[in-house]
Amino acid sequence: MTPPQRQRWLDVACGFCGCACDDLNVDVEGGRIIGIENACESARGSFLAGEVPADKATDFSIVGEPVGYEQAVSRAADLLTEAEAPFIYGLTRMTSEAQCAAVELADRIGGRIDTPAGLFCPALGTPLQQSGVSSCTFGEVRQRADVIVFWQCDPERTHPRFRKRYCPDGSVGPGAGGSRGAFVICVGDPGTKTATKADQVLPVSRGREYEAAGVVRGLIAGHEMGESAVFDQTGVSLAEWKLLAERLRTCHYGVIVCEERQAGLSDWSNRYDAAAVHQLAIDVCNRTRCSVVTLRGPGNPVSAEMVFTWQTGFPCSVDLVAGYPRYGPAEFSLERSIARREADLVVIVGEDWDHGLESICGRLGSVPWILIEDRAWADLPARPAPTIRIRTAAFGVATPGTLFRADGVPLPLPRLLESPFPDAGRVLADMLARVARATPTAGGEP
Amino acid sequence: MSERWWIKGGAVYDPANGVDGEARDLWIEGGKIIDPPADRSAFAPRILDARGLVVMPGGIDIHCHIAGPKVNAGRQMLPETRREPALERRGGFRSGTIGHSPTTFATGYRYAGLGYTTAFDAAIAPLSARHAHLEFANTPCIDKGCFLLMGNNHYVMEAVRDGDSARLRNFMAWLLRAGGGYAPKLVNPGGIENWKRGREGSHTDLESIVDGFDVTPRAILAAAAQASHELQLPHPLHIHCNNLGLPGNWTTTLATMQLLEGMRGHLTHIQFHSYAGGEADETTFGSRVEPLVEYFNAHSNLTVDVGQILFGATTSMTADSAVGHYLSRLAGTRWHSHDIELETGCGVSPIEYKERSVVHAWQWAIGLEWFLLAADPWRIALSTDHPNGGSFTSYPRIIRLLMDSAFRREELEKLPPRVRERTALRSLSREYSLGEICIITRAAPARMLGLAGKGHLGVGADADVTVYAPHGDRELMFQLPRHVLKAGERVIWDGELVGAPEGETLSVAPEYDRGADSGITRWIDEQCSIRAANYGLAVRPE
Repeated sequence: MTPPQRQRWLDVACGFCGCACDDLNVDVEGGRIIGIENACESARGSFLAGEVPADKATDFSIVGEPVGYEQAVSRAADLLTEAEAPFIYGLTRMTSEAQCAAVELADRIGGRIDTPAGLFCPALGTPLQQSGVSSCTFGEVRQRADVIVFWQCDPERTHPRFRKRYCPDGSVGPGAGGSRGAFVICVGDPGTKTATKADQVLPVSRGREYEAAGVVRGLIAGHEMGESAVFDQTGVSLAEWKLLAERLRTCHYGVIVCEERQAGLSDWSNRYDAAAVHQLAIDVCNRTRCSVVTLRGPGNPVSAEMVFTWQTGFPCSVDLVAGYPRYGPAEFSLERSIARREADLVVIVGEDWDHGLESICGRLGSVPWILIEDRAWADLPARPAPTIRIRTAAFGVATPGTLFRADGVPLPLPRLLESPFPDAGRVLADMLARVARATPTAGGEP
Repeated sequence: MSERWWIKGGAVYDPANGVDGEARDLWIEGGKIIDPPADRSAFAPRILDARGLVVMPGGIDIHCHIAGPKVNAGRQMLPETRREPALERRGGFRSGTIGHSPTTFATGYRYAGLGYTTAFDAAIAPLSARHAHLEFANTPCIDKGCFLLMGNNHYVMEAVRDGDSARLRNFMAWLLRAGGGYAPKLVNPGGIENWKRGREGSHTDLESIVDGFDVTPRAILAAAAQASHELQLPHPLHIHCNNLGLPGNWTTTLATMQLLEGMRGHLTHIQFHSYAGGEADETTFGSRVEPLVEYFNAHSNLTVDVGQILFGATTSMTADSAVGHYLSRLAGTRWHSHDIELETGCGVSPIEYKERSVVHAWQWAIGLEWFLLAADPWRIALSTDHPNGGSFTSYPRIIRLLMDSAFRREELEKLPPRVRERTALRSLSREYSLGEICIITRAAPARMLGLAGKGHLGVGADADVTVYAPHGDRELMFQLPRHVLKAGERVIWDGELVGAPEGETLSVAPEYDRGADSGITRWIDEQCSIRAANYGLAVRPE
């Protein structure tokens, strides 16, 4: 007999890697997660960690001194009221509903707001803004793809269940074709686990993705190319590129899988690469079907872009200081804003600290900053102490709301655990209510 | 807060109740129109002195694209269109950007600013329904709902193939509930599946076989219309016909009308489906409104909205991915395509309608031909298929084109001779009356949608009321309503936005055989990349 206090949750969605698997079964007992099925190793750890116990010394604090929630929120609201150029950053480990509250706060106080994706978004904008995007949901990969190209990515390591769930038949061997399973090509490091399972591997030199995409596009368009030039530019022979181009040209439904780092979302040096890969897929679409699937990092980054877009019209890097949304990818990034003294207060909320913020950690001490964070202080990487710290409910286990999968499919997150801490969205709304009392023009209700 | 109102002495247009501009009083309490109170002083209403003003029910947009992933892709795609004019944060109102697809808050404010109080997004994939509803929660001032895409759904096509009408009916009901939808929608039935399978273009006549499913668009249309009828839905099947935009597509449209004989059916953006011509030869492109409207006038089971185009730049967005691809290749523009498993596709690309283009000029004329040749205004609704034909903010211009034949002639003279000399518009002098405008923008869409409490001002109706100052230039008059109440709450006052009530989300919950649930959820668990428990709105018990 199952003890009555034990509860089993079926088909739980996971917010801990970009796969957003939603078939996890979770056992909860006594306010703790005690068992989990179908999770990858990384998700297992995150779920079992659950809600880390309260730590009165650091959960709510002002300049290191422990305070109550009300005091912390009031002081944070004071800082927001006094700030002339507040910057809200993060929004990754948050539900869509909490992200809505963050953009609303930025709008009402007139600040800048950005996400890690924006930190590295090229000034030219997202691939959709540069070239357009042909994409599909993960289920289409499983049902239709007969050629899958893993483009400089290693989902076996970064998204362990992706291939099993969405490319279930795996390799069918070179030349086999047919309707069962896809021909798998790996463009990139031949040493990855993903590459060892591929039917064909093209070990393109790192940093040569743009050239590689150009070669394949040229071949698909029927252009002649010099063998040595191609090899010099890409590190792969023309003959191998021809095979890849022919596969894509003659397939029924091709899918190119990339990781956000190569999709131009998080690497300064590759600002044209994403558009090149997307343009390649669009070229293929003039002959047959081809989609790009971009694997995203942990948390809820796609949702942040969606919320930004429906509330401001832009996916990231939005400045609301002028009273209306202005878009400045790269220009309005947190790093540059602090460096140019265009931010006099930073609110970091729902940040995924694994994701590139190191570059600005050193600068955080130069302005007052508020940390709204769902993990214990001790569990975070070293950084200057925040002016105010507010602990929130643990994302993914105690934050009911919406999670967007990398392909834009929205999923519900249940409340598996009761948290002693408020949801991040609630904290932001409480701060806004206090700011509105101090400055009625920031207004809540009209 | 909803208040008590006495709207005093306005020229009331309430065609559903036979009122055509007579001076009347309206009384409002609890967000509804009520009988005149017995004791007026005890009632203590706010008074809106409407003497000399025109009073109508709030406008209803039966077909637009204002929420969900496709609209959001359109918003993101063209940042260069969003710089000016922007919507500034003011008082308690949110800021936003406009472009071709305004941001959510701006959408609500702009609809209200136009005197509209209800709008339906016409194409939401059930798999994305949760996203659309999140946007609805950020779209104030209006009531809103969505139509759910079913015309290329694999379960639907399998049930049609098997001739299993009960299975189809149960699934459609289940889907409407799961996705919080208001009506079933077919977009290019079968054609999107064929396109996803690599067939070029969307050339699908009603007898083409859908690859892999052994069904025809005709069979999907007939079965879905029948199921909608049996489910007694307030709005019948909402149909985007096959072959949208293609020369010669009028025969497909006529065949679709004919197969609906004896059943209600709504054909949307009919303008895009009324073309003569063939083989992509521009010289043969033209209007075939006359034979279609002749059939339409004689068949009261059918309703349409027009999908009028206006000249200028906009963004095309459709579930009909084949059309999206065709348009982007034609103009060499950015293109977004997104295939949604088991259900549909999605195509987004910018487009500019140019007066000097023969095809675009024909499209403009064809929409107006529909408005002016359709005999019964109760069966035709004003739409631009926003933003496809143009923004909803251009409705006042269309109203002027319909009410002012001299203005229409002036505009017609700007078109290429080949069009202006051949369109039926040349000989059409019909001018819509204010009462008829009230029908095609309020009363008729409410009736088509089965919204008993909307589109009229009788006792018990929602107190969604728009008050206009009459003006000889009807475009100006309809652009700037003096006052707008939403469920009795002030939204526009003296032309200014003063309130932003949340508005309701409208959906249906048709009855069906719950014994079907386990089969449906098992199918989703097997076929879909998410679990049935998480599908659609997936409201989990707390």
